Amino acid sequence: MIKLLSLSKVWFLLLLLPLTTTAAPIPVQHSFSDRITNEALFELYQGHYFPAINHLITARKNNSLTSDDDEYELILAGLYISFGLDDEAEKIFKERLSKSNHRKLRNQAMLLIAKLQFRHGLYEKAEKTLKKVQVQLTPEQQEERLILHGQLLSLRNKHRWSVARLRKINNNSEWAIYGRYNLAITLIKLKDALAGQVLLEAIGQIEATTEDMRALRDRANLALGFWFLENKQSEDALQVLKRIRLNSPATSMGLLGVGWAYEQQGEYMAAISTWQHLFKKGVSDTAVHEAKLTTAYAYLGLESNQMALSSFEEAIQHYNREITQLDTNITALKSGAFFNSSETDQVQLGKAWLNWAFVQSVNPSHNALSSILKSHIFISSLNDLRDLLFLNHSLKLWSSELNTFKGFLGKSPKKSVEKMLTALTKESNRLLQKQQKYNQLSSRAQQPSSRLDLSTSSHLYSYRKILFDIDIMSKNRHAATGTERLMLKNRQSNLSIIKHFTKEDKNSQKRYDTLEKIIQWQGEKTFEESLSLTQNALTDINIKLSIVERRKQAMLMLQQAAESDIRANDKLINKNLSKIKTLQPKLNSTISKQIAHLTELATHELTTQKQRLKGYLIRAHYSVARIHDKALGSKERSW
Amino acid sequence: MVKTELTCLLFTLLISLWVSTIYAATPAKPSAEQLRIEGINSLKSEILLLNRDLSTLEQEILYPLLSQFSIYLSTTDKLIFKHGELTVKIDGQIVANNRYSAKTIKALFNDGVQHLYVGKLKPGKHQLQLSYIWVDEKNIPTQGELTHSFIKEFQAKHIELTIVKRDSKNPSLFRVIEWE
Repeated sequence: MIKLLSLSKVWFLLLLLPLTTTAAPIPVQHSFSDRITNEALFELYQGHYFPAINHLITARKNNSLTSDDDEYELILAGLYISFGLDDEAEKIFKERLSKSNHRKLRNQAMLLIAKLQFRHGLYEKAEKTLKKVQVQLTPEQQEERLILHGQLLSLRNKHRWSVARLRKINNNSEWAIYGRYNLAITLIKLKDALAGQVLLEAIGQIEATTEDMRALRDRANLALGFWFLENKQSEDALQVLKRIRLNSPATSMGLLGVGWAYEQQGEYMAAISTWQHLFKKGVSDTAVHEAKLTTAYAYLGLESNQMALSSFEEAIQHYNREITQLDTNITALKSGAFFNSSETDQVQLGKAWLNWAFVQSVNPSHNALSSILKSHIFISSLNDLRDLLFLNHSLKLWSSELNTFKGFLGKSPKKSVEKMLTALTKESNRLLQKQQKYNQLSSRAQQPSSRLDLSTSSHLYSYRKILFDIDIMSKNRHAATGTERLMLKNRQSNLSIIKHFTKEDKNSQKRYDTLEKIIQWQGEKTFEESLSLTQNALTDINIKLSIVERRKQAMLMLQQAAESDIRANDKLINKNLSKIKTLQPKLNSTISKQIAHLTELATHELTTQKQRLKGYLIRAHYSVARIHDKALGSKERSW
Repeated sequence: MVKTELTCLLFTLLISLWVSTIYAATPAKPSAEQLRIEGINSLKSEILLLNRDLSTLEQEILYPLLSQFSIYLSTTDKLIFKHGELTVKIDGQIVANNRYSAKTIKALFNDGVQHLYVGKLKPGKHQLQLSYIWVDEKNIPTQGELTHSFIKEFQAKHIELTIVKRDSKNPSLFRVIEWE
């Protein structure tokens, strides 16, 4: 028998497959006896973890896996990790990687598990797993280990230990820069500000080649700028904060900081002008909420009480509007608006589809839920829900199938099978139609170049065309493709063309602003997600279609099967049906709890924002009262 | 008053800024979180095992080993295709009619093997017909048909359709391998 894959190749698969399906092909001549592992690989490469796991564990139970090699067990361990079953994975790694020549591989496996536990929020468990990792790692993995350990220690307020770990990072890889950033922040927390400051200064001026690195550079400048502000070093703060890009996630906070720096220098007008620039960006986030209040205080600094009063009143209106919006969204969240009930197919197939229409409506100018949606804990919980829904769907299918078998064993077997066949054919046709619909959406989205051919159209026509296309893209965001992402890359040039047209039409400035917002918002927030959603939708339909087709084949087989063969399995069918009956309510209750948990995470985020706004509101009201009191006092004195 | 208010705001903001810069998410209570995740994982494991038993049962009921017949699709050579389509007939009856996206093709070319068909087949002489269209990166289609006769004994029979490089000796894109 030809050996299928070496252990190192298996590891290569474990690391890369859950992340991407475009790994480089490994040219190996496989033998038929290895087909089970290869069948699992086929599913795995397409992200179908559940069928791949089922395939391997069924083969293991039936002793179909004749090979003594560790390959399939290691692939299974990797699949368990993808399915969130890190304990099962760890068991396999312990058992299969006990020999001394496997130590390096085991260390890598443990590091991977520790990272996943950290993402799940299981900090103690992650630290325990990390202790099992010894030193035999590549330099990059060693850095990852140190950063993770440093973060875990910091979470437990062991900052000095954290610093000791992070200080060991000493090269210039991306990981090392992240590590140094964390070290700088921890040092500042430990009041070793100078050391932290030096590190942040260096990161704030790195030559970044990737977007991640540019974002980290902005964050370093922001942190350093605010540190200078806290220490009243406004000139230094200004210098550092002005390094932040104007289209970065840190821009709002950066502008707020710049305004503050001017305010510290007594340059109230410059501060107000900076904050007004922030308001013009049309976003609504913490920086804007803060700036509403600070603008009013700056007018007080200018002794312009009337302007201050009107700014405070404007701030009060702004906070009240935001609070009302948040209240509406919290109520909607609690009533289950977070999950899209209309996409029942996807839900049945295990994709916990967030209701993006709702998520976007929470606050279109700045998604109030964005921070929670990006958090590791939320994503892990969402994946768990996806798995549970998939398992639920699978149990329902089995239940229906077993009941059909039972029906077949009854008085009129042929009728039962025919009935089932009709139902399955109907389901198959419905899915084929859906598949066609998604394919159409996909191919329509793959022709953006013709839609954006501005050179062949008149100016006005092009302008309308772009607006129309953006509108289509907004409506059909589920059809986002790689090509559409390319189209967004060209948005700057398109926007500059549109800007040119705005001179011809006074009213188009407003439309231009809206358009710019839509494009930027879609480009930054939605397209990555939409692309993945479209791919998931197609994958799900294909999985379900293959299941239904397989069931259809099974029913055709049943029509020809000997009754005696089937009757022999009657007891087994009943036994398994009762198992399903026991598991189903347990599963349903866990699904409900998981949905409640996710909703609670999102609600907590919105409630925190609401509390913060209430704090601002109290300050604004208090200041208004003080201004009135002061005015009244001076009036009385003048009497 | 202005300075005090601004300093107070700055301080509040700094606290939230430090927290948000170092942690991606608000840390949850580990013990409660751990319990919840352990509950979910134990349920997942339980259902996976039940699913395994049910798959075995399904195989025993529907495809008894002696009459079982399977078709697999694999590849040995590193060929690049954008998409493809194939139809397999056994004794004139279509048993598989599949379309392949770039993603599925990649899965095949990365050592994946697709279980194309499983069913029952009576012992005796049978005929497999395969027709295919595979389109490469330059949109050039490779189209063809293949007929293969085989004998099914009183035991499981497996046929593997392997995509291979075409040459003067082997003009077909597919090679048929029989396994018992």
